[in-house]
Amino acid sequence: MPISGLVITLQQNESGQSALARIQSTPTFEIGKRDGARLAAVLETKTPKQDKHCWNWLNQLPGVLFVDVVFIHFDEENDADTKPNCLTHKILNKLDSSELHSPSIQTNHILASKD
Amino acid sequence: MTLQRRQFIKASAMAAAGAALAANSDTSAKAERAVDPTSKSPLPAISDVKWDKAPCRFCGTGCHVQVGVKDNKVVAIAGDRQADVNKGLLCVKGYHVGLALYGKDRLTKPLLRRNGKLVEITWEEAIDTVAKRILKSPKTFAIYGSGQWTVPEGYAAQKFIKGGLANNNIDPNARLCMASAVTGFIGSFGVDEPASCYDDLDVCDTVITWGNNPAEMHPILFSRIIDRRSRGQKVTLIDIGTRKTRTTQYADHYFEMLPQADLALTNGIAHLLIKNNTYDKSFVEKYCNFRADADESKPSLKGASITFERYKEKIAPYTPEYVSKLSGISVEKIKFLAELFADPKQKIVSLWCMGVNQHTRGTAVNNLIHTIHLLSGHFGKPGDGPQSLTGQPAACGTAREVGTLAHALPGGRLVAKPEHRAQCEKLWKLPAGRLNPKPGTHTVLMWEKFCTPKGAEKNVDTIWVQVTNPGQTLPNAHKLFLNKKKQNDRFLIVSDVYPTATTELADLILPAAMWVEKNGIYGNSERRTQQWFKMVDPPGDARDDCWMTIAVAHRLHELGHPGMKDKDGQFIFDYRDANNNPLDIWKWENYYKTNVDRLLYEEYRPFTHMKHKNVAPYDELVKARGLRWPVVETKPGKWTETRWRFTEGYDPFVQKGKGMQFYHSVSDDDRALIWFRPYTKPPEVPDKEFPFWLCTGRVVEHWHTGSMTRRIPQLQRAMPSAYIEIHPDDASSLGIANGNTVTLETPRGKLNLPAWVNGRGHPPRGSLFVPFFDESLPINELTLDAHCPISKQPDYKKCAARISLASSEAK
Repeated sequence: MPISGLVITLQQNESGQSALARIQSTPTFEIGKRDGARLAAVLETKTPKQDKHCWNWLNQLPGVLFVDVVFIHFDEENDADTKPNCLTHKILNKLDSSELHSPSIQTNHILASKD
Repeated sequence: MTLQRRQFIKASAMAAAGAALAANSDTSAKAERAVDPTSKSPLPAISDVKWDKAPCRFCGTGCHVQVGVKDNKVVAIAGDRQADVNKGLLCVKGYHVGLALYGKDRLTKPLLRRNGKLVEITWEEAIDTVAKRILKSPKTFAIYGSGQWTVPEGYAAQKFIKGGLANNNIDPNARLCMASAVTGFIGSFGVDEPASCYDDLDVCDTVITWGNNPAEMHPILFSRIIDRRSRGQKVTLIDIGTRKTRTTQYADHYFEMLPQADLALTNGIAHLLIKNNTYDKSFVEKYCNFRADADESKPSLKGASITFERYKEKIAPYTPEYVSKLSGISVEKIKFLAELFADPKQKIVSLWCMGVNQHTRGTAVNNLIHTIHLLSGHFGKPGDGPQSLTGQPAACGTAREVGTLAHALPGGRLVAKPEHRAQCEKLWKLPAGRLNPKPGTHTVLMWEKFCTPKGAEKNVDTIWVQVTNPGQTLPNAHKLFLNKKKQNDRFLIVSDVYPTATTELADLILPAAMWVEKNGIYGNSERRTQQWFKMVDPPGDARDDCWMTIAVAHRLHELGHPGMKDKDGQFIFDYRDANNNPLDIWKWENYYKTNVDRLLYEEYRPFTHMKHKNVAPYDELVKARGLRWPVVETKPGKWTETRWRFTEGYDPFVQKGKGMQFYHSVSDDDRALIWFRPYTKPPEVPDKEFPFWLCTGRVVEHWHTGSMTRRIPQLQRAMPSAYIEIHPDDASSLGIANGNTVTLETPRGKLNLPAWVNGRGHPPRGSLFVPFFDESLPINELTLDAHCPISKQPDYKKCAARISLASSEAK
């Protein structure tokens, strides 16, 4: 259950105001102090996957200029989410080495991460 | 997790965010504030979590984190508010750095390849195997390290191979990343590393990024610029590059140039400063000399002295029109840049990293960026100067300062100079004449020899790789790495924390401790030396790299290698306690009974005085969030760091009344050098057969070869595999759509990758980009091993390529 402390820098215009409203209305975020364009916030999610989803959403939200992280707590990370995704791991476990250079294309992920 | 504990941690997270907000509420004032190493910073008060400081494990920015440990496990990370580098903030990688320790496939046992299979062996067998392999042929042994070595690790490796084996075959992967910056600084100022520091970013008027993408590669530094803007301060950002990046999105001006045209553009700016008589005459007359190569076809580090008149003649052809033709940048934009540098009221910071360094004329471009700053007098003042950045956490601290390069010794000493060797022999208590005067093999040559069939070129047959992954980072990898498969007499030893492309071909794998599983010292891009203590145990039988080196040295000592003794007959790593009892640190059970880092660092520290790079005493580093050398004792017990080198009032080694003093000047007269370095064509250019430019680099989510960040689920999910960026018009003309598998080819190999039309960056027509973090898509099998003749750093940023829909897609 990741918990992160964030400092979010907003544009100082209507877009920034709109972003603030969207963040405030999102239950995974708790809003703290504000100093000019900067806003303290806490992101609390149930899984690392949801954490990443929220992180991407925030970074892509119009009106958000920058997101800095100042704190992360992760002592109850879901083991199922932390399996290595590296080919050398498989190879050490005696899988066919011909996999080494076969492209492991995950285009959907790439496109999903496009900003 | 109980509700109460959860609420408590949430409150801690909010407190940390609120505190960071307050700490960063007045950036300009903070820039003037000195570090107060004794002040206490409130940390998230989680009762069962113990906090301690450490620099981040990843890039060369040198952010400090607070590491929260519970039950011998890292469970939380907070930005360190006491750290001037990051002021409590962290980027997405720093935020997850603690998880880098906990990938499920950590290497935990020594593994020896027998009959093609890796089998577990004991540490005793492993150390004995390495020692006997070296003993068999000490001269053909080499160490390949990195800018991720801690200072004591690099120092121990350096002393072992150069001081013990009298063999100079040691080089770091930093050769692939910042060697051109080193030769650039030495050629211009006579001594390596930046004169300026990050504080410049808080007070400058203009930032110019030269082939540099700090928004992704050094995001915390970039955040300092964005932060100022968000407060209403004007900071002009000029991005000069060969493709649009995330940095470009924030830029006021984007000047797109053709590959290699940085050589022309810098000369073009210098040309206009001279022609328009807008250079800083007073600065140049007082503090500069002029240089060029006597024979331009043979570039050299130090060149030959020329007059100002001769410099004017050489620069004369670089008119805006000629430079525009070479660079693709308009005449107006070239004039704009020259006028910017001509304005004495502007405070200008130049930032650069791999775009300039990974270049077959990398030394030249480094010299030329220094040249336009010197010529215009934009140098040595707060907010006004050139600042090269590094990609690894101790590229400066270890590779450059400890001098773990094939030609160097600690303290800026050179193996080729008898007086330098004598100084080192004295400090290391070695018999006179022990050190070898012949430089060893630099990275490209080392691996070429290692992978060359037995014969004329063979003089490296065993390489010990520590803290890096050359199987994924060496250019032209078929030639420089994968050919090892064909050489049965070669032996590859790899110390690492995870399986990598390098361990794939290893004959012996040594499981290593990483980051806060061991004591350490790093040195960042602004001369800041940073220390941390071990906080958790490494998994299984993983051990410190530094211990491995000392244990192998001791085994060689036992086996009778004469170089493992000093002039008094003692083991070269013989250390004693206060009662003169031997500490026996080669025994793992004793290694943490004493602070070996302190012993090695304090032995190393006198070397740093030789070139006025005085690093702080170990115990001062313990108290601070890093200190920028030179660090001198200004009052008894008070140690003061230096923000701007060579400038009176800041640098303690500048003599009173000098104003500015380049006290290691190449010309021995306290002056820096303004260089003429001509434009030359790249070694490989697109043609009919290979019509595209190919550039490689990084992405924000992954660090280096991804061996750590790809094991952090959040980062891996965000960027799961490499891709190829292509311009929409090129994609359209080749029938390539987003997500199609395409075949990328260069004269050195081919690879299938998914296409990303435009991509995160936006390549111009005729240009492609592939990141190198993905071991399953090894782009460096295709890159070029041509390198700068001075720095020996290869060019990963431009080669010729072709692209087509993969046959599977065509069907």
